[in-house]
Amino acid sequence: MRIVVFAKAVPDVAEAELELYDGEVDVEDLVFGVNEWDAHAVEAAIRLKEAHGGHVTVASLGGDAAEDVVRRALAMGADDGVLVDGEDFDGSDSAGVARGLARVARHVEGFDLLLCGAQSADTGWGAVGPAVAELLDLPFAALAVSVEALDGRVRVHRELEANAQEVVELQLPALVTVQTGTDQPRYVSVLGIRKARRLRMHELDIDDLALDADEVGHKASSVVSAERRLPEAGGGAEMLQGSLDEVCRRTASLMKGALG
Amino acid sequence: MSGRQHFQGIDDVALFYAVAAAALAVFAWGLARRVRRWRAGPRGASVPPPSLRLRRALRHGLSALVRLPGDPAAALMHGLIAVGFTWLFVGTVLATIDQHVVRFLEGPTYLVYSLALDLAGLALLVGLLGAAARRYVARIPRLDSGGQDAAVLLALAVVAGSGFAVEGLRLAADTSGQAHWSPLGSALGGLFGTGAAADAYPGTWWFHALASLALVAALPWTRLFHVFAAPVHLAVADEPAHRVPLEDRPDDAPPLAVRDVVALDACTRCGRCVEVCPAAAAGEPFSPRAVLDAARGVTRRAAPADGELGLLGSATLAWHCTTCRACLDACPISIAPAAVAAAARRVDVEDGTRVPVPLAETLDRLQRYGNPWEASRKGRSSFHKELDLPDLSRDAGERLTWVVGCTAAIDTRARAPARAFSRLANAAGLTVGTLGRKEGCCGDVAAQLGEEGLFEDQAEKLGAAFDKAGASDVVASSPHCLASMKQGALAPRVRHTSEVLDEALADGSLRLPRPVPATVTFHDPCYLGRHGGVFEPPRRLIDAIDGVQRVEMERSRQTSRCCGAGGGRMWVEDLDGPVRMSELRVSEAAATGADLLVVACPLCLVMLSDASKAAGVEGSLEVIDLSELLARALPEVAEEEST
Repeated sequence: MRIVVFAKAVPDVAEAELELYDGEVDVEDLVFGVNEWDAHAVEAAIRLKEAHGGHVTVASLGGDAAEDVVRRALAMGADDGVLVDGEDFDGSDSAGVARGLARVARHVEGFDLLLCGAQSADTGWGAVGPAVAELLDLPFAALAVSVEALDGRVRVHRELEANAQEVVELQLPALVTVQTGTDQPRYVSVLGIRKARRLRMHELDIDDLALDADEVGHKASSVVSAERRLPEAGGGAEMLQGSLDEVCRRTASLMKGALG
Repeated sequence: MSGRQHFQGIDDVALFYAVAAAALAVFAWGLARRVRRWRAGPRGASVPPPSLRLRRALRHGLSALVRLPGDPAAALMHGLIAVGFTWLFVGTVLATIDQHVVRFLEGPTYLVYSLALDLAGLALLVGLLGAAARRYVARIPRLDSGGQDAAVLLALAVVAGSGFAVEGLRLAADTSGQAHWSPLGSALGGLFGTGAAADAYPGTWWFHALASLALVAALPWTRLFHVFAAPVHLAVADEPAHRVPLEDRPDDAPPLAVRDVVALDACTRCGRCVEVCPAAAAGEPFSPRAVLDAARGVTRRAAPADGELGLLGSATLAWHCTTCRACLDACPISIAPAAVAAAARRVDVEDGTRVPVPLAETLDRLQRYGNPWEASRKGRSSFHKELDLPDLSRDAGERLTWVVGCTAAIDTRARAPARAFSRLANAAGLTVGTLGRKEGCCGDVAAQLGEEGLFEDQAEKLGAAFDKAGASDVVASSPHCLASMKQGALAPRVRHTSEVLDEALADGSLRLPRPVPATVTFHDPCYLGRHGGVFEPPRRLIDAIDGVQRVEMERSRQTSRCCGAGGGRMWVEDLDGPVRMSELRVSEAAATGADLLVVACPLCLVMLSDASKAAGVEGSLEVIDLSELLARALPEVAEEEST
């Protein structure tokens, strides 16, 4: 089974203090990693390969952080890596990114299955997967929590609200977007990454993909970002600062006040 | 005077030699198999030169016969069996020499020889009875008897018993008048009539001969093989584990070091390691012995190691170990089950699919953030800013380089002792600086979790920061940083805060004038005590405070019990047993009646503070760090300023 996985580098914002400059998030101090949904897609692809044989290609679009994403996927067991130069895609909407990725898939001869995360942690449109399926005229299923390979088809368990599931079957080739409920992505060791540096990675730009500059990027985007903002600190909440003792004293006095 | 009689009344001597040759061949085959497995391990700096190995094998091997500290009954039992068995074996070899090489077993020599062999047989039988009584009457819990244990005892008893029967039958017909030099044999011989004895003799002789030869042939295939493997393990065991950098290791290097492969054969499953294991005490499905059993099972399979479940054939077994080292210190022949667990972790980490999820996430955080707490560089160094000490990464100088450590820099509770140490250092006039923003993780968590590549990266980075800051004298708040920096040889001199303060106390620069009326007990952190060998400096500091009365817990110093944070357990709760290790330790501290439980490690502090709440002793037993206790004994701030 020939599988192509699309994965994206996203900043880790769980513990970070975000700052905005001119409507753009300041990423200087942020730590990048693989989009969690995409990591699950890579794991699903590698498990399919381990069970049924085949070949896994992982593609990412972007700069150094994207290169790291591909490298880690190679360390997890992917056979091939594709890094698409992200510069021309600056300001792309989901359709623009999908145009690039669809061309990457066409480069992989005779692919059976395309996998990607159901959404990305940073921009969260959840649209790239379906758009790629549309561009390549493929059947697709979204929000998969398990993907089983059958003869010429895949059976996909889709996660719905309230823990309900729907099982669908798709004729291959097809595209499936993956939820985080699939198998936990395996740990990637530093040694594994070191070894993956020896594996080849194809670097492509829009010329290699036979795309025009006005098919991607700002110009081709049908959505214009009007504003980004961070939530204001609301009323009714007070962040307690200072040493442990001070925080405790303040907490105690607040509780006393609330009781009294 | 008579001498040793050979094959007296036995016709088919050639048949005996044929069977003996076959038995020796089976023995040699078994021995060769075992040795081949030992030699398959990675060769390297950890194996000492042959002459030293031989000396150690003899010295340690002989002393291990009876060296079972704190267990005289076991030592007596083992000594009787070992000495009896060995002397009976030597006696047989001497008889062979007497027959084929030079005849010397005659006259007084022969009589002494007879007596010695008789006593050896007696020693063996008494020892075997003792062993059986310990196993099946007293039922010592750690012994965990299986089928092989009974079979081995029974086989030895059959060989010894039939030997006495042969001797008795022979002496029943003896007319030399010197049979009393074999007191047991002749007493037994007295039970038989001369004629019946002569009839029964050949059959009994053959039974004894075949039983003995069967035992020889079976030696390398049973646990009795420890008589060879244990001395060999002792010969290679106490070499300091020399870490071979990853890039110098071949890709197909086997996961276990030579000494650990030998250890699997040397272990007799005596269970002393199980008794001292904190995870086993907490009821977790784990013990150091189970690790060795599992590794033995997997390494002996035809296609080992790389199977679905790694080196131990289990997804979780390797991850319970706190690396506290108690098992190593309890083992009479210095086997290190933690080293086997560590090897299994390395295999699991490279595979990636068997690492427990919270630990895989911890390793991911270490990769991305350079600390296990997911704090940004800015967040981590904000505490260094608060400490307001010279930043040696910017302005190198002749100062003590203090590695505050991730946990002390980030965790709210663990910051307090770091502040206290800063005050103490200031009061003692020590010139201390930090690496500020350049202080990264020492690599300890990665090393303990078997992530060697990450350990190398982190150690290298910290080492480079030391070099740039000209750090020659380093002090660490955490015993884990201490051990890791020593292992990586990152600076010429690395000490724990308690060692530095102890020195300041000794030379009079640290004064602790304020009395602290309290009863305190000190918890030896595993990485400070057993790993670092630092037991007395914290106690000297505690004893230097007026009004403090120090009491010891049931398990202290070398036998201290882990708080449950080691081996990465700080970051995974899923593996906890019915009781938590930290609660066991806190209960032990509470039992001393102390007001204060003093620790000297940020991980112990966090772990035991939480446990004191869970165990409900929070009100009567305060968990504090040594630095905090010492800071309470410093002169009042106002006083300090006026002097």
